[in-house]
Amino acid sequence: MTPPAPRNPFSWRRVRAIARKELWQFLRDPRLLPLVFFAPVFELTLFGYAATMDVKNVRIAVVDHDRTEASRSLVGALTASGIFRVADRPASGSGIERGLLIGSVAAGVEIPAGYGGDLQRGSSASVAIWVDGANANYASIVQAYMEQIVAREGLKRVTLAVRRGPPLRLPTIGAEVRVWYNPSLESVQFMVPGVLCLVLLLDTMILTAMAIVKERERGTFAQLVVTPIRPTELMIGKLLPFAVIGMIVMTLVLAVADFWFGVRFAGSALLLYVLTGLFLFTTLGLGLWVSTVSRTQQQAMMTAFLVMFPTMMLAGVFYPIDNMPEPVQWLTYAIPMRYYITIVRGILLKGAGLSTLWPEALGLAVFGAAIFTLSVARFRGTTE
Amino acid sequence: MKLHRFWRRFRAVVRKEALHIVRDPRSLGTALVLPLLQLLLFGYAIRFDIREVKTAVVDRDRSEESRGFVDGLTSSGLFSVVDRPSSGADLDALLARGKVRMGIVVPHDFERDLERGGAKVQVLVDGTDANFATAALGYFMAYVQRASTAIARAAARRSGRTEILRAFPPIRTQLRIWFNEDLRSENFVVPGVIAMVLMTLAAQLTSIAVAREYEHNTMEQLVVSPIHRLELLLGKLVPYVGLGFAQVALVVLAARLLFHVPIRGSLVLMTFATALFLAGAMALGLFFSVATRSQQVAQQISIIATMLPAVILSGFVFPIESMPKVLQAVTLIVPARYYLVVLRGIFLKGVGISVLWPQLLWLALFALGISALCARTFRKSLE
Repeated sequence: MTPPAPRNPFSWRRVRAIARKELWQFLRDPRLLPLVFFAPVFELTLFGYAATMDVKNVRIAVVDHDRTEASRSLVGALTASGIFRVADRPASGSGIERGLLIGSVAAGVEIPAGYGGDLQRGSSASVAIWVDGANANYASIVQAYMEQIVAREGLKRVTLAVRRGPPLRLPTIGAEVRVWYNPSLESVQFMVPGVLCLVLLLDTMILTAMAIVKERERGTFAQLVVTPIRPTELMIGKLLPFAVIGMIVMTLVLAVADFWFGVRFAGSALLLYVLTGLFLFTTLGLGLWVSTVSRTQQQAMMTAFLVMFPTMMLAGVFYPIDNMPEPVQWLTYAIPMRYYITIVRGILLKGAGLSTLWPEALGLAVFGAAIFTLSVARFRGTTE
Repeated sequence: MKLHRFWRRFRAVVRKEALHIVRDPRSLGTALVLPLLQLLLFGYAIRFDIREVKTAVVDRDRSEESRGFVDGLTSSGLFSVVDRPSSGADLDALLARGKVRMGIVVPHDFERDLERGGAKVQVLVDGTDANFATAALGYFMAYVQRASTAIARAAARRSGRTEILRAFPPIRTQLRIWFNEDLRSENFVVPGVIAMVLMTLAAQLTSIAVAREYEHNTMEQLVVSPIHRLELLLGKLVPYVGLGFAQVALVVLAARLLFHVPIRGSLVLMTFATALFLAGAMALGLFFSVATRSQQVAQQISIIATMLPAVILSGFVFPIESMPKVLQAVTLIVPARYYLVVLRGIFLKGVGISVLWPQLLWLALFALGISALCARTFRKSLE
């Protein structure tokens, strides 16, 4: 008769020991520590200031064959808008073409001789506009602005012409603009949730995966497995420090966003932390999974990248999901980060509460639990 | 004599590193699959252009003029009126729930005000995504201008003053879009993806290359061998450069076949420029590797110092002119910025070395400079 297996109840003491060891290993590295904490601030600065599609300072070339008050008025209207800057005044259209080729200007305007005369006589005048289409999105916005300014100038001219005859009112439509949630239209408001996501992914998924695999590489992982420690304790002990680090870094990002960038925190901080904790199940689970399929740190990194890149692109972090083709939009419903981004944006910018965000919270919980459970199962497999 | 020995040792290192790569099929596979994945994502899924903005309209006037205004909005294709709520409060709710990104309120006396000389509409836009909101507003204002002109013309026609009618449109614009006539998003995205992917993977891979030796303590073995540090560094670099070329070839092929991106310039020039860019990017990764001796740290630094600048500061997505002056200055040391100019020049503009020589010069200097830095740091670390 075989003796009964010895009882080995779950021990928080062992979890604490593992967590403490993990934390020590992390803190002991004099470069990793400041990196993990300063990188997010750097990223936030980068995204906050650089990541703007605000079209301004567009360099244009102007060819004025007419040189009348009317043509100068048109050029003036372009520069007065603050959007365009005359960088060059070549003598002919070929000068504009050369500028576009070498990239010194993004657009060009050629005013033919007779422009002013046409307007004076009350007939239609014409202008030629070149746009560098290489940057397609930028080009279409530049084009829209140019057409708008030219049209406005045109109406102004017609109104002047009208004054010379019997009175006639030429009606115009104006627009009164109100911007919701972000009146100054700063990109940083939109970017903060994205940076938060990036940071959490980097710190809780990649770091975790690499830390576990590093130990596996060193051979100390096998040593741990043969101790009385239970797989669950090992797992919790390893994941807990990174979860804590993730929360601390998140707080850092939010603090910088608030104090430096003035990003308003419209909603409940508590709700944000709770739902972030829920999101951590996803990221830690992914980190765990990556560690189980990688034998070396290099493999871990590459696999993590393979997972991270599409996830970030498709979750609506930096590019709106609305713009994606229908089938892709359906696909994004399976990505937990999509829900998290909506949640963060909702809480930070719109002050939304659980009553509005419960579908996203549910999605996060369901998918997060699925990922985490699968990863844990795999992890336990590796400890046997 | 000495050259022969150099070559033999160099070849040995290349072989060892190449074996490392090939014996890790997962990493190799990822290195080849990831660029394609990025290309597919950016080509198919991620669109930067603004189309069919979900809009809601509250028409308090319900006159012919107001209906004409709203109908014209949808015909442009840029906006899509998905809802016509009856009150401002309903509109607010739609915006709050994110069902629409823009709301337009046409006031009660719209038509009457127009007859009197001027009317105003109110537009509400969801500012959460500032870039999107700015662009959408830009398009909307352009539309308002067009509508204004049309209404003015109609008024002129009604007045019977044909001489004024001749003046419409006051200024006709002849638009010429160069290099990318249909403003295809793919043509603009693909060069950027190439630069981004190369930069990221290049630095990441090499960042681990040397650090791994330190961590596995095989670096000591290498140090006591007759290998010179130059042979070691170059030998480690070459296989990854080869891998980088394979990645570029794959992406360019896919870009041609799947997305029909034109290649108007010289492929030879592009290969040369790619070699320079790769050399610089990989030397950078190698530098991090040598300086930190830790795979984890090297990798984290790599991400910050190569991937993020390549995406954000290179002019790929966000125009450099729109950035604050300080950051514009910073972009001057981002290799991806110059490589992107070269790629766009070769793919879309068909220009050659006469135009692109400044960028190529910079890329060459960068590669040389970082390699020198690498070699110096490596020497110090051996002591």
